[in-house]
Amino acid sequence: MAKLMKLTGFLCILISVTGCWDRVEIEERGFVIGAAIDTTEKSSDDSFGTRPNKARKEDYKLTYQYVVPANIQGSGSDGQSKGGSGGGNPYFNVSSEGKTIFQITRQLSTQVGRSPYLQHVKIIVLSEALSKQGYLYDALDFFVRDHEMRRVAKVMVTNGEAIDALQVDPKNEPMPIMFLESITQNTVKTAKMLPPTNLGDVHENLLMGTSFVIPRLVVNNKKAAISGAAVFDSQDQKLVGTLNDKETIGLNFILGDIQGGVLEFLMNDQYFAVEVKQAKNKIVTNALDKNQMKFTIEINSEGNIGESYGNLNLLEPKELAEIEKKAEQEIELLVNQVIEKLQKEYKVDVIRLGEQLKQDHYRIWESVKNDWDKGENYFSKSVIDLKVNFKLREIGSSIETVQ
Amino acid sequence: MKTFEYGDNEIGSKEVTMSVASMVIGFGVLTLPRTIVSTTNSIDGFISIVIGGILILFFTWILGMLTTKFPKKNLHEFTSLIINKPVATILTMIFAFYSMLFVSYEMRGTADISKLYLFDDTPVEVIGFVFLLVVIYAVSGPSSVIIRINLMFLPIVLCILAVLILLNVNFFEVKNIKPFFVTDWLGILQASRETIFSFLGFETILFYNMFLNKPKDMVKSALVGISIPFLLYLLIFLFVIGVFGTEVTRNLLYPTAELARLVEIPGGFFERFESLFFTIWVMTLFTTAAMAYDVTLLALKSVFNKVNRMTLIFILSPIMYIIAMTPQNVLELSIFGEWISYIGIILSMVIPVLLLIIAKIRGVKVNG
Repeated sequence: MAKLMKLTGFLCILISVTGCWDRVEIEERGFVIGAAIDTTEKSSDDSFGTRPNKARKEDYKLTYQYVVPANIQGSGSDGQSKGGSGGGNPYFNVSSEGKTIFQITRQLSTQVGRSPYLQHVKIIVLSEALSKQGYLYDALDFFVRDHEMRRVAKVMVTNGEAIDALQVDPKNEPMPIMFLESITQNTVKTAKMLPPTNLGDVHENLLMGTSFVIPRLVVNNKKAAISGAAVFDSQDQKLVGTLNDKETIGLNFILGDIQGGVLEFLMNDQYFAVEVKQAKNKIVTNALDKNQMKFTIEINSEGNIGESYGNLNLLEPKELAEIEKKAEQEIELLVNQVIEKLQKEYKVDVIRLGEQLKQDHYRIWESVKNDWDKGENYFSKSVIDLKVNFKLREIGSSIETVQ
Repeated sequence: MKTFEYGDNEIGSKEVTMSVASMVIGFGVLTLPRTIVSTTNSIDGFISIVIGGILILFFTWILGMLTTKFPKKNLHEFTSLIINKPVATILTMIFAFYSMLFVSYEMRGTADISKLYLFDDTPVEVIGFVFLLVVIYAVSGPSSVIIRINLMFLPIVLCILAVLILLNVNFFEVKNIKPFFVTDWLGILQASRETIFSFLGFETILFYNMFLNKPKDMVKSALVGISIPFLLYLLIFLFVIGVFGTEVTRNLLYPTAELARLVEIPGGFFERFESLFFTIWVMTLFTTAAMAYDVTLLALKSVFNKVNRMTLIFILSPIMYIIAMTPQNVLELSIFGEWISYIGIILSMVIPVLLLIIAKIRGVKVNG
């Protein structure tokens, strides 16, 4: 009898504590790899009664890009090798509108059988309109809060509607998001785009109340390119403007974020291209006078010769020194352009001088931090000196191409 | 033949070191960086941890001094010697109650965080129940079994934490930990109070004293045991701040867990380190809860000598479960935790000091 009781006891425990409550078969998960957030003009129903002035007037339009794992193998988007099962697209986009991102995400479960699973979100694209209206932190709150999301997802701002970014022609990749993701890896080749900004970085900037930049995605006719930067101010964390390719190179030089890039200039009236391999910066603050703070930015960079049209003798030390000098001038020009624009036009400190000030002179920073790049705007009044050094490392395998 | 050695109920100094370390490392690791930076700026919390750590080392030393005076005796026995039996009984009961609450807290904490990060649909009640079942299984045996589990678990835990820190070296930014010395002293002291909370648990040696085979080593091994979490906290704090910065850390519910979720070796080669992290973290909570439960049993048993250990388990477990499920949300749970910590401070710091002083004044001698 006692034995029987024991056995029943064991069986009860076995049945009640084994197994997995949260089991979701892998085929049943809707893998989302990218999200795009737009705002819509009209607002749907007014179930909240009279809307307080502070609440957002526009609705969100959220688009998720789902992966269809069965169609990934052997199906280029141009339909060249339609093998596998079905041979459809390896991805599809679903959008829905609503007031909160969370609501829309749940709403999508009514449209797609596989409920959205966000662990694999690689990129979140925001529309320009949304960023201009200053809904950035609104729109990202869900992604920062949700336990499925990871802080390494990348954030980008498009030039138009965010949804277009999910519909670009993915060329050699199976899915648009993978295509964009592969472009972001190319910061080792060009300095025209910012290094990827991830969700954690944006969250940090929003919390610290600093101005910041996010890589900009330009979509035209289903063609996408990541180039330039979207600039957000510290006042309302709205999009205040953009930086073009050249200004972005300058910004990257200041931030010391260059892993690879190209500089073009004239040598003996011929075009000349230099490959920048790295840039390191050093900022020295001299904050004696609040109204005219002085910063010295020292940029040390090095690189190789990429292309030479003129008949320069690249083994001649004098020539090399000349090239280095020209490269330094070019960098100085790029950097000065962007500083000018940031100080005079946008008046936002995305070159993180404030951060440097905070590290070096904490007391002074405490006294100016509320008026740093807003209000009084001590940032735009500060004086920035540049010191640029460029070192040539390699000249390539050929000395001269024409005699 | 050493077949029977396992059956002895004695522990060596290595076991004490490991047990103290495992007992201390628990729920606090996850939240510690946030609670510290809620009153300090940048890396200044480092000072708070050092202050808290040194204080704890001092009180561990006091505990060690107290217990080495009375080898092979537990709290109830030596308090009866120092003061008298009724006081000893009351004190031991309070101690039992405290460590019982401790088990409940650890259990609820495990359940809550597992639900947040791992089991979305499983009710907290079920996760907590399963956890409690495993803890009950552990405490059903003799105390030395639980202590020996630490020898096995702690190295694994420390290795994984070391890997976690190593994998985040890439994300570490020096600018996040500067500037130094910008917090006022009040903030630093407030933060060190939080640090002390997360060091609690070392008071278990008051009971494990009676299993010790070399009582003279107690002080040294307990101090080494406390130093392990001390260094670990310093490292984890340094890295959480270095990776996230002060502002973000302040706004992350469990910063250390987020650190684990950040890990990504380029090329998708290795991601999702959090699965490993949560495994070892549940292991540490398990050893902490099991030891706390064991101490509850030892305390009660020293008062009610005749009651069977299993009977006590059957009575206590439902109570613990109900207490654990009483807090309604994270906020209430943290208030609950705070109260336990206050009791813990009284029991592990104030009382031992008092006992030691009284013992000195009365000149209590140990007779065997």
